[in-house]
Amino acid sequence: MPLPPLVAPGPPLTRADSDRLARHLMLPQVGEDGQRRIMAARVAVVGAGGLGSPVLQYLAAAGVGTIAIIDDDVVERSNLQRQVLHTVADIGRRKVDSAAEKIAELAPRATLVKHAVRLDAGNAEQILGGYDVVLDGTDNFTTRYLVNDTCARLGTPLVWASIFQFDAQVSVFWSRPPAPAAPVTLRDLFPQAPPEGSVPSCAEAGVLGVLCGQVGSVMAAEALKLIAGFGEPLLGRVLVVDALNARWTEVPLRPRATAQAGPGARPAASVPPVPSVPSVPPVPLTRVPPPPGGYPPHPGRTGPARPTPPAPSGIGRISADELDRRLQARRRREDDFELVDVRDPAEFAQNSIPGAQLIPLSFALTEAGRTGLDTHTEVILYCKTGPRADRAATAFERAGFRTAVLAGGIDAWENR
Amino acid sequence: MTEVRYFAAAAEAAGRSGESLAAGTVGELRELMVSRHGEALERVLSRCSLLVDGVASPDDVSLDDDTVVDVLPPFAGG
Repeated sequence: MPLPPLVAPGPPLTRADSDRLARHLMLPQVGEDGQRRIMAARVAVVGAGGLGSPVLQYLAAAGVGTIAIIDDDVVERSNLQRQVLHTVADIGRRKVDSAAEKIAELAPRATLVKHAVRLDAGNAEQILGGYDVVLDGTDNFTTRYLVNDTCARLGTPLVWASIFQFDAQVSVFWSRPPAPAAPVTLRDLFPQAPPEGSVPSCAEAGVLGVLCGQVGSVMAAEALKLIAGFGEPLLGRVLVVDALNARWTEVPLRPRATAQAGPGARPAASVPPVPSVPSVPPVPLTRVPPPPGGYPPHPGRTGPARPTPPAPSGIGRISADELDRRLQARRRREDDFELVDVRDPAEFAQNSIPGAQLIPLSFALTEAGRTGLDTHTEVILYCKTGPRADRAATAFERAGFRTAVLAGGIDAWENR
Repeated sequence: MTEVRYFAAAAEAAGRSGESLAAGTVGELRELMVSRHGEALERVLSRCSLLVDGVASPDDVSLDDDTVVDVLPPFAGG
């Protein structure tokens, strides 16, 4: 079930932003709107270790505006096998310092908040409060349950993962998701922390280093999806990763019936059964209906839900010969339109159609890239053969412009 | 029949990734799994969550036909 975006869009992207984030802008599901949400987002990452390293790298690379790093450890030599943010030179340094330094190089404009403290019952709410989403990559049950219970109290969505040897579990927990999504937390998956010492740790039993990269990347993707409201989040599902056999399995997760049931109630009785399925994986997820009166609203910043952008259809075409005639008419002031080349500057420098102006695609997809143009004037777009111009035309049309795309691009123009 | 899926240490202890078993309750299913796969699985099971069609369920929960039970051990590495 898609969820509405968690974060309202920040200011329009600058030219430098659109260059940097060009590959996100070209994704219709993200686009400038989604990217502005990502850049306005405030994210807290608990643990700057194995999972925290790829999480922090990808969130910073994606342009997340504010990132808090919470870790009270120092870098040890044995960390370097999987905690890829830290280097040999960082051994003995605080992980928050090493991590913040690396991601500042990657994202100099991000606001970084360092907390070199161990979360405890006395500080967790204060440290984690005020963030749009929290990611948990810590290494012990005590902190994991504390982070879960704190996020559940705050109503903040939690992207959660844990790893051990070759195995991992990843999910999204949220005590107050928008209806009709069912609220689930870590306590619905594992109601209680196991007794101290009953479960071996990675320090005792090992972990495949690269598993951190596989799983941390999933966590970062889930956070971005929640922030900008695209795709299907892992809420109500646990992704179980078996790196040894290269198997990723989806396990459904629903609220425990006992949480609402009175004493003596048969726990499963109130939960509708999942329809039978012919083969075992994957199991379709049946939603539990929301409680009477619905869930309390999420207190975080929200924005209106974005419809999925339509496919580029109905964009007008213009042939090379017709463009030639219209350019001649424009020189006689008998026609009026803007001719826009959406290729890269290097391509534009090699050859271009006389009378065209350059607005590279990534910039053309942003509000700032279109500011020099008047919505009352038709825009004719071209690239090398057509696909980039189509993508730009979709964005221009959505912004209220009348557009046409040169059929066959500049290649067709040169062969006319 | 209940479709059981074992994960991580539970799959290792059971020597398989899944099987079909006939049991009336979660508790019966647990006993059946232990009788088939022995002490190694029993140790792991004691800390596992048994998700009955996605719901973590204690021993007294009854199992319908065509139920899927996922056996997940907890771990805390990060």
